[in-house]
Amino acid sequence: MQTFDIEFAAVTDIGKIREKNEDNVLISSDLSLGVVADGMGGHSAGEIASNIAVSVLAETVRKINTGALKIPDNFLPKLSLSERKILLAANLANAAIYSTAQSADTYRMMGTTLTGVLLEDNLATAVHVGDSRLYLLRNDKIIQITTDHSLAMEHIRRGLLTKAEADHSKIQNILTRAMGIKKNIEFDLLKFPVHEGDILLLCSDGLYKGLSEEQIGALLRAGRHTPLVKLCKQLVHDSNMHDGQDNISCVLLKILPPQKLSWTQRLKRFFKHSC
Amino acid sequence: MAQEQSQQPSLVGQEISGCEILQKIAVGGMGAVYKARHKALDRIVCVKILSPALTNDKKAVELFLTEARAIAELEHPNIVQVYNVGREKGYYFIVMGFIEGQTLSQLVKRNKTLPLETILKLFEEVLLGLDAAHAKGIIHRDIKPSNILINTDGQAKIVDFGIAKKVDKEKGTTKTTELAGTAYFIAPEQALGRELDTRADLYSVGASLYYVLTGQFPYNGKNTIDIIQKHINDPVPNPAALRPGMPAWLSAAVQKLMAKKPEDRFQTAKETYVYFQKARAEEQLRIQKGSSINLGDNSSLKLVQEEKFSTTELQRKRQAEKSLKKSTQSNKPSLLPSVDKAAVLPVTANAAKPVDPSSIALPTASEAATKGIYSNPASGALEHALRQKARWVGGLLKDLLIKLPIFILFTIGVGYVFYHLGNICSAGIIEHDGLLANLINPFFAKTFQPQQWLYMLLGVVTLGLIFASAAVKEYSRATVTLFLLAFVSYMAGLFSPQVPFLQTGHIWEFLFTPQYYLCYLVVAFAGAVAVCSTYNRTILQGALGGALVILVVALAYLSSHLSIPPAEHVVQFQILFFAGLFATVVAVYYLLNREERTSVIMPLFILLLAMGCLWVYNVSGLVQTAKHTSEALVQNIDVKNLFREAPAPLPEEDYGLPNRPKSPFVAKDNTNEVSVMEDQQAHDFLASQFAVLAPNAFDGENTALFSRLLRRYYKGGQSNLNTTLWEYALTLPLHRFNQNAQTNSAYTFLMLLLMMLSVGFCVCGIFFKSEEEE
Repeated sequence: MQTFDIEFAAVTDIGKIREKNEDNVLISSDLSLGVVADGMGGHSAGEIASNIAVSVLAETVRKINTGALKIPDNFLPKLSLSERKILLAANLANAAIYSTAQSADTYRMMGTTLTGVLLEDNLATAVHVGDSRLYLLRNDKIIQITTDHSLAMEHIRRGLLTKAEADHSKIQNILTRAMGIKKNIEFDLLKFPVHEGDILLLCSDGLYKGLSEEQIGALLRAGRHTPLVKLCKQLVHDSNMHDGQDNISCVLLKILPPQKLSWTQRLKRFFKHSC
Repeated sequence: MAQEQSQQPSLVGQEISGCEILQKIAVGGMGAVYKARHKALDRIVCVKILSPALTNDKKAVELFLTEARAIAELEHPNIVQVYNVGREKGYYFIVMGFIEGQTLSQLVKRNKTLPLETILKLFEEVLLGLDAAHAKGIIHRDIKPSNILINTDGQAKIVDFGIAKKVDKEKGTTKTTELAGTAYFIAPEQALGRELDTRADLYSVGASLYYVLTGQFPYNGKNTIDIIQKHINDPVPNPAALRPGMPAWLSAAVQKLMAKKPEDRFQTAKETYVYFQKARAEEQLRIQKGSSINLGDNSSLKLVQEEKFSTTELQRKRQAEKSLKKSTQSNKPSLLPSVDKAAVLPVTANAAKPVDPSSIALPTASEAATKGIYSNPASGALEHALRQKARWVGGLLKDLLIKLPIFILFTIGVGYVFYHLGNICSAGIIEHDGLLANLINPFFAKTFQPQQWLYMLLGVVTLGLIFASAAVKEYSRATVTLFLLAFVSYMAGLFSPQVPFLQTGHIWEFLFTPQYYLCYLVVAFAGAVAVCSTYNRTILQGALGGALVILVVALAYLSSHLSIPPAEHVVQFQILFFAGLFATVVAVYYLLNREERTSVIMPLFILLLAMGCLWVYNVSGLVQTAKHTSEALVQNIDVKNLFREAPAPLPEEDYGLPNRPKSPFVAKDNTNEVSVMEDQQAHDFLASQFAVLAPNAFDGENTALFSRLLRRYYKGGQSNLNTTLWEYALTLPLHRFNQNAQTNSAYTFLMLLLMMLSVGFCVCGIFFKSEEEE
């Protein structure tokens, strides 16, 4: 059972030079879910891929929650329920994109990144593929939770490039993993406990190309008491000012202390969650 | 428009740019490739249509056309000719020469070892073709065996000239994915995203040459990234190591072409070509010692020298030619190969698989009929599938034939070593010490038996090997049983010295006697543990594990060999019993329901707990009986001692606490028969009493134990006697078992069972592994 409340905000912007917005975002307080998907730039139907990714993910989680869909017993039984839920959803989304991509020439080669986070039982469970990112702001410190699946990042990891070199490298945009390209892909699955006051930031690469990690952190710290939606818009706006070469998407999730509930509400909530 | 086009994916029968489309040859991310007939010229051509999905991307289209035009300018026998480029009926197309033949990669796959002569001829042609392109300032960027076409005359033609790359480059500022098979031939600077020049193509030529020479990719890895990073980082492999027959100059040339730094390579394609020519001429000379140098070769050499120009010149030239193109290019090009597998070729470009090194033979002296190699064989998809299946079965058989005998020998070795170790240690056995004490004591003896050191060393080595075998996939499942086998063999050696090793003569008479239940117990337990520790169990395996657990519990009950049920169901024992049952159920639940949040440790722990509980429950029966007997005995003595009114003070303080209940043995007045007797006499007397009172509890074999019980009672009173009874009861089954083992070789039987089980697991391991690989 959830012991905190979550505030959500999401903004997506086309940027300054793109002709269409291929990013898709989703927030759902029912599902405690936030998702960012960034469709493949040059590919034919990036916005369709990212749309499928986001909607199938959310729909699957919803179906599992309501019992309309049962997670197969042999689907990664070692993982926790949240992990299995989000991973199954992500896999289904990938299959959906892949089959759509195969269905028509127009969709051929479309793909998308996906970074989604599900908040359940005081735990954040994130699924991640591609170069969108998940940041966590805790105790005024900003941490990047996810690792980009880009060739540049792989090179950095092996010490073949420095971070500074990679920032100017041509291979920064080459993803090593993305949804919709293959039938089965590997997702990063991350799980960490969340506390009151944490802010989770999901963003597409457009945001962090315009704003450095420090700048994002500074903005979030300064905006502790501003409404979350305003903060979200602020981030996107600032990034657009600095760069704007790409679509910019940003999702913010803030962990709030639980609201005071009457005992009937509590009871209702308890039965709703436990049934 | 895009939608319209996607609705008619096939253009067969239509006419584009005066070409009648005959048949679709291949489809790739870039578009489709068709075989077509040029009506005016009446010749077969190849038409590549840009994917409708990309026609909306203005930049992509522009580059597609610009690049195609540049190649169209190139007229070289070793580059596939481009006839026409343009747009018609909403399709962007390239018309190019149709090459009847196959790709170099297909050729290599069919003929594992091409003759050196053929390889060199092909690569010299490739180098000439590249040189022509480089002179125009065109970098191919994706040289690989599948981009080198060989026509039926054995002439090499380079295709797919950077077309895909250029468009790829403009796929927006975001993301391309999945670096394709070309990762095997990518130049380090390309992989790092640095500026490219023509020397990157030379690296790829080197890597391709390596592949063609050896049948192996220069670098292999878990995934594309791994391979790419090896191109950047790993030392250049030596092709001569895989093809020992090749000349030294050639392997040196390959390594030079594959140098990490562009400046360490040959600087131009021409330079490489010249080097090849020269080296071959020299070799020729060496072979035909004394004969004169071919003048023709020399003259071509000179000519080449004159034509050679430096890289800087080349770059400048290219810069000038491409200034127009550059202006339209984005500053964030992606330089890595695309997923586009179906290139311009009339072929199905399968990602090449690394070849088994054992299959690479030395180059045969007989020059294969060149025509025969180049001829395009009939499609053998079925044949290929069959061959793959056969290879899998072959691999399986190989595994079974090689690994299984090794493993069987290993299990026998384990049994033998530990049996002998136990045998040697059995010299120090003490009959009525506990099982555990007897197992461990020999290693702390003051004097060692001869050979004990040797066998201890061997035992340690064997244990090490068992540990190591856990790392081998085929054997890992059997590790648990191997451990148990070692243990049981040791026990067999220790407790049944008179049974010769692996003598199974009496087994059949005893198969269903209680003495053997412990054997079954251990085997079932080993199986249960092995199944439980399987990482991803199937439902069937889960059920098997559950069944084994139940069997273990049942056997534990039987093997505790207590034909005497608990005489009096003390509440605690009942609770214990039900707790044991409950724990068993929980364990089975864990094993069947594959929700493994507590991993395998938890169910195993519960399983052990359950077994312990059930064991204690059973043992309690014996304790009860023994207790009754002793109570009856004591009462009996007390009856004889009734006249004793008031107990006298204790004569010896050592005999216990003053306030403990008085026992007849310590009566001071000497009226008690037993107390005046010598110990041995008293034991004999009491034994006879026991025989009357509880005829089944203690038999002749147990006199020593019986006297121990009495001594305890004598010293410590009732509570001490109870403790002794528990100790006795708990060790009894094992003790009995030991005795039984000496007469019916149960240990040997157990060893055999374990060996069979572990071999079975080994076979399973081999089978499962092979399936996964397939």
